[in-house]
Formats: sequence, C-alpha cells, structure tokens
Amino acid sequence: MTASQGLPRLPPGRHGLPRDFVVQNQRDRLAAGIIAAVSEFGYHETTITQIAAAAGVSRRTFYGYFNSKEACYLATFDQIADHLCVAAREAAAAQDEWPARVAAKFAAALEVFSTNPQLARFALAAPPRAGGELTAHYRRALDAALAELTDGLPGGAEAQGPSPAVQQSLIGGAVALIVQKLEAGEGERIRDLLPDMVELFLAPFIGRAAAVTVAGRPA
Amino acid sequence: MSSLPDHLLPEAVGREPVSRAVLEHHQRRRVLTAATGVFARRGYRSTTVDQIVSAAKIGVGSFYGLFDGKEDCFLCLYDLIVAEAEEAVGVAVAGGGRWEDRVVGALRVLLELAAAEPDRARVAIVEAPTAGPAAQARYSETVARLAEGLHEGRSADASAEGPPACFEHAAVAGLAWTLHQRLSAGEPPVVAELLPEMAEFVVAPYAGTGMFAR
Repeated sequence: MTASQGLPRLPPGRHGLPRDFVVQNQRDRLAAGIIAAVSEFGYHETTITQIAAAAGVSRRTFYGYFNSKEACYLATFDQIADHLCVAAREAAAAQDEWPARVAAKFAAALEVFSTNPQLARFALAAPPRAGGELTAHYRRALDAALAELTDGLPGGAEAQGPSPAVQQSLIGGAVALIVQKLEAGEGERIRDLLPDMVELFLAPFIGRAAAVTVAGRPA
Repeated sequence: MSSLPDHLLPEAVGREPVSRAVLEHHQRRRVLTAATGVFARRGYRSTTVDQIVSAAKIGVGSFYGLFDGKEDCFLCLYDLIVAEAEEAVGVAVAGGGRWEDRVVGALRVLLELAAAEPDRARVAIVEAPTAGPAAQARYSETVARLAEGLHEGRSADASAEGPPACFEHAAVAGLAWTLHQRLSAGEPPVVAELLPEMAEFVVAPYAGTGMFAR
C-alpha cells in the first residue's frame, strides 16, 4: 500500500513542531489512509489496522482522533465535500450566467476526481455499497450538491425547470457516469465526461440547443 | 417442520402425490417473500439468517436445504424480483406501437410495481448495491439491460443528432437514484406524480431523432 506517499512521516521523537501542526498532520494522514484503504478494498473490507498502517500511525493514534471507522469515514467524506464545494465556487466566480456557472462547477469537480480517482472511489462509489449511515450521509450530500448546482438559477428558468424528482435523477445520473468511468479503469479520464455531463444536466433547464452551446460539444 | 424421507411418506391414494420439486418451489417462495420484508426493513448487512428463518416460520435446516446462506438467498430474491418486473414490462410493451409509447408504458409498469411493493423495490434498488460483489454485478447488468432497451430509440443512422452517447446509462441510473432516495426515506413513489415528469425526462432528448421522428 502506498497510501502515505506524499505525506512524509514526521521524524520520530522530539521534533519541536507545534502541537497543532502535529495534530493536523496526523488527521490528514488518517484521511489519506482511509481514502487509500477504502478505495482499494471497499468500506466493509477495510479495517482500522489497515487505515492506521496506510496513514503511518498507530491504532492508538487512530483512536485518539476517531472512535470508529465510520466516524473517520464520515469526517473524511465531509472534508472532500467541503473541498469540492470551495473549488466549485471558486471556478464559478468568474462566470456571470447560471449555465456557465454550472459548467464551471462540474469542470472543477471532474478535475478533482481525475487528478485523484481514489477520491471518486471513496466518495462516490463506496457509500451506496456500504449501506446504513454511510448511504444516508451520501444521500444528503448529493442533495446538497444539487442545491449548490441550482443555486442562482434564474427565476424564469426555474418556473419551467424540471421537477425536484427529475433534478435528483440528473445529479444521480451525473454521478453514475463518474462511477462508470472508475469501473472501466479510466479514472484519470473522468474529466473527459465534462461536455456530455454539462449538456445532460442543463438540457432540462435551458433546452437542448442552449445546453449544447454551453457544453461546447460538437453537435 | 422437517419433511419425512420419501420412503416413510404415506402412500397418496386416489390423488396425485405432490412432488418434492413442487413442495420445494413453494417453500422457496415462502422464504423469499418473508426475506423481502426482513431485508427491506433491516438492510442486507444487518439481516441474519435467523431473522429470515423466524419470519418465514421454517427451520434453519430447511433454510440451508434451499439456500447456501444469506447471500445466496438475497441473490435468488433479486433475480426473482427483476425477472417478474421484466416480465411485466414485456407484457406491457408486447402490443408494439410507437417507441415512445412503449418507453412510457415500461416506465409506468416499473413505477407501479415500486409503488405497490415498496419492499421489493427497496431490495432491488437500495439493498442490492450493498449485498456484495455478486449482487453489485447483477445490479449493474440490470441497469445496462434497461439502458440498452432505451437505446433502441436512436436512429440506425449514426450521424443523426441525438443525446450524448452516455445518455441512456445516465437516465436509467438517474431514475434509479430518484427511486433510491424516495424508498430510503420511506416514501414509495407516487405514479401519478412521477410518471409524466420521468417520461418527459427520458423521452424528450430523442425528440426529432431516430424512432421518435417516425
């Protein structure tokens, strides 16, 4: 397992680093550890021993931060969701029109997942397969992602926009395309989905012709 | 109740003896019906064979005479639910007619089934992805089969304009996600509400192309 690559282990003993830094470093390591382990083995097959080993910390250290695998998973999931949200808003900031903002947000998210497909496995493929609280948490997160995408939707389009049920299908379908890429072993090519995804998502709101234009897909 | 060995069974006089295969078939149905409620209520992972056995009111030995274990029981149940749903869809679209009418007819049948039997829908849509690699593979196959059926709406002329190539997969998986959300929240789908919206979502992208144009 190469989970802690890019996260150099702290030198042992008294390193003179402030405690906050050590805490943040260990938390980040545990996040990287659970992402690597769950994306490789699946949530239920992953053990706390594997997470700690991938993070390069002891089991005891794990329990210093989280009292269960589930708590560690959910905290890490929320960290990824927050990161995606910030990246999406930053990308959209330069755009004035709602459709272009949606396209920019999708672009930012797909870029994150292409750069590290493990994040997509961890945050999109694993939760519906885990059941229980993970799936429930994931359902709420997809609803929040939908709210983020439809934020700023012009009133006129909203009146004619698709129903909430169809909007849920749009976000569910978009995620399914990402998972399909992962299953095909093409995680690094998730970004290639951008034009199709933008068109599929926008068409029910602004019509197909306008959606194709925003998506930039050769029609 | 454990069954007597064949050679100790009383001779059935004057009527056809019920064959072992028929008995077994009925017992399987009974266990699968009971298991549906248990899986839907507790979730696949929290369900135990003991819970299924007591819901079905059979012995543990009889259960293992019919199934290898919990996963095998779940897979048999999944296959049964999907086969019956596909049969119902097949009946609904057997009359032929326009492509878009057949798609809407198929959608109506699936939504009606989910509304009438939310436990079964929950097993097939919410629980199957959680039930291990074999169940996940079957779930993916079901989605792929439905997407393939939808794909018929495209023109044979590959150059004709249509939705992006990934539309069918996104539409089927997206519809499944909407149902997943409703069923997980304990709100069975309302056909009158969902059918018109979903029909438009699935069929409209083909407007003016392929089968839709004829």
